[in-house]
Amino acid sequence: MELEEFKNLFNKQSNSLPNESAAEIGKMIHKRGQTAIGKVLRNMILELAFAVVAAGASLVFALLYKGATSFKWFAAIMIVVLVLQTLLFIPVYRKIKNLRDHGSDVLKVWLKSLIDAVETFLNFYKRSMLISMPIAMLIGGYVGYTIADEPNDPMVPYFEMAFIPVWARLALILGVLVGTFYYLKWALHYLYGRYINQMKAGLKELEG
Amino acid sequence: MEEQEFVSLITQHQGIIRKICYLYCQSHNDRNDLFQEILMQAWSSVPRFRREAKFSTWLYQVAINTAVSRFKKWKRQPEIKPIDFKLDISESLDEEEKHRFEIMYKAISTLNDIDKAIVSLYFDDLDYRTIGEMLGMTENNVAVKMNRIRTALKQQVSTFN
Repeated sequence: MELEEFKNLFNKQSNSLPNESAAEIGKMIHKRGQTAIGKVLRNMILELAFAVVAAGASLVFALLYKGATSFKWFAAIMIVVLVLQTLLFIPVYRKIKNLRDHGSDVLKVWLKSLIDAVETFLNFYKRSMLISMPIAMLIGGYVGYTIADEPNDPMVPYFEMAFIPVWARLALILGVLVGTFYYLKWALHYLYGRYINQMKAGLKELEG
Repeated sequence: MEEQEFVSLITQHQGIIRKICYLYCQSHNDRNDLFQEILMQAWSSVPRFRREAKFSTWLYQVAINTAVSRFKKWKRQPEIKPIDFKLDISESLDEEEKHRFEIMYKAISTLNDIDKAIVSLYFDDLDYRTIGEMLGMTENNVAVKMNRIRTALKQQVSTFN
């Protein structure tokens, strides 16, 4: 069968497919989609929601255990992280959200914008990891050092861990940090890296 | 544009979306998912629709953009399976036509997403200049690609036969 013949049959075939009613279409436009932009936006909202819940919970603990320095520090760190994350989050979120309206751009422009949006999100995520993890390690160490003189602090037994040698504790902390970093890097590639490659392949086709 | 007007226009032009879904997805469920993605993308993009443009051309652009940039479900097994396509082929075709239609459909399903976009726009009798404008390619590039697509399809069809 030649392409021309297929085209005629295909068009005839398409015209005979059952149509959705206006009511059904009205419902469908408000459902939750699986587009890349939708996923990125949902992930960003989840990230922020998680930060809000964590900051709220740490604040509750700090208020419940007023004498515990560790909880005060923890609440303060979580609130600072929340504020920083929100400040970084707003422009990235707006940039990606605005892109949703551009679905009728020329395909090449659309693909470029999508790649840019997803890469902006990934860079935002990686940057916040790179900044927050060493800071968390330093502050954690400082808090541990500060509360060592406060035997009533409920976190002291967890910091002491006398049965584990110091070098092993440090190695554990470092291992967890490095492991978390590489795990997140792999997860981001698994979730979005292949998608970016797919978009880049499309762009290459258009340019070649 | 009000929602009611948008829904009414989509209802009239939904054949465009169906065609794209049919070319980009082999399974019934994937087609329905893509249909919905295109509807939602069109609804998000409608504030930028200029009334002097044709709604059908605008909808084609949105449908192609969404199909090419859809978030594919990554599967371990290859996407193309032996003849297992459940095509809703019209009863008006005889067995021989159905078989040849299936073979060509399978061949088209092996094309990359950009080539499928060119084929789908060509099926709607759009000229190379318009196709190029919609995809961001030159008219000449579209013509070259179209020739390559024809050759590739011929080879695929002979393989499947």
